[in-house]
Amino acid sequence: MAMTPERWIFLEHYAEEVFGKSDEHLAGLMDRAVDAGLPAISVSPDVGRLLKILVSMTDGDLAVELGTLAGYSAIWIARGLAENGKLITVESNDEYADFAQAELEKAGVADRVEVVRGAALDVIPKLVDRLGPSSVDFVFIDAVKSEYVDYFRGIKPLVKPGGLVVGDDAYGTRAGWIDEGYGTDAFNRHVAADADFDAVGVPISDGILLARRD
Amino acid sequence: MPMTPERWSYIGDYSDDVFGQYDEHLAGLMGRAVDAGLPPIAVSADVGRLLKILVSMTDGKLAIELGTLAGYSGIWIARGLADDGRLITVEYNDQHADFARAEFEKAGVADKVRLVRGAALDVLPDIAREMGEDSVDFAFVDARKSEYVDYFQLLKPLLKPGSLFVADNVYATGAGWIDEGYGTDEFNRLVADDPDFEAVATPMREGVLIARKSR
Repeated sequence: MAMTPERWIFLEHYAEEVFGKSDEHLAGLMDRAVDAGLPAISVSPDVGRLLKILVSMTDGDLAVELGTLAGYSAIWIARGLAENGKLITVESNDEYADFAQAELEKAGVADRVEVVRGAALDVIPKLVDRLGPSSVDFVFIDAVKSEYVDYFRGIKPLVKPGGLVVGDDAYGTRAGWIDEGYGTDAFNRHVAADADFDAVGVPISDGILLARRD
Repeated sequence: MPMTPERWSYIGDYSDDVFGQYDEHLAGLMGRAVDAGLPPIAVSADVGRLLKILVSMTDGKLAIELGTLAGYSGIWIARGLADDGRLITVEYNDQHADFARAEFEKAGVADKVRLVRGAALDVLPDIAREMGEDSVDFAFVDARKSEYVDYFQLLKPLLKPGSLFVADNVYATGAGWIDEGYGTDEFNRLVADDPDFEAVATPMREGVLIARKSR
């Protein structure tokens, strides 16, 4: 009954086969990104689908993503938005932002996605000023792991009651797992202990933290 | 970076520690259930919290659970409901139902929970007639694994657009894992391929499938 390395890989392949179906545009995106020199660290298709499901469970009017990379997760998030919904996605690397902008256009979601260039910690205060309190339905955090607690503190006033905050790499990164000191332990504990949120870690791919504001 | 048995246990313990905190009533429930002779196969605290979060993301007016057991997951689900929300939970074992009934009362959710006794496949048609189509915000399936496909087909018309359908044990049961033939492979593929649903499974504990009815 133990979870073995082989079994984990079996489950990852199974999830990709059964739950990871996506259209050709999304299926080819990460290959194009890697060809363009971007790191192959986007979320997996099953996590993408989970993001879409979660966004669609909110009002879906306004979402914020920290860490655009190639735009893969942004396309999934955008597809979960309400008809007039909008995603603001923040990326510090200009090359990544250029690539993502082109992919968002090809995916037909560029009209609902704004790519903001800059480091998340610099951009968040501007978003707070611009968007105002209790304005955001969904936040996806996938930027610098050591800064997650600061991101959370910064964006918390923006999150509507009933809004969701999702953090990627809660249990590990490509470099290693949480028992080796990777992942986002401080963030996990910080959110779990926040009385305004109900939070749980979900071991899918590198782990996500799912938190709902009461 | 392989997922080793030790690492998997570590993540399970970590999740209990960080995300499994809850009140004393729920903390003592499974001990009392095991003392009363019920099998220790309830969902874990982190899965319970996930259920509560997911229920609260819906309108939370009407939830259905198949497989009450000791009432543990039922209490988490009830806590995610709207103020005027109700849970109908189905249990075929009278001893389990009696135990769960008492626990719902102790947990202060008995007024929100209706316990229906009987086999899920026998009572679902009656529930369907009573509730009607597009009436259910949240369904949680945790009864006989070999019947999951039938549960899904019976529940599907009851589910509202925008509702959630969640199933436990989709990757494993106490007997073994999906690569050994356990879990609910046929069901997983059926839900994933249904154009009315958007579905994903996570290897949380023994595998939790989350599907949203999109139309």
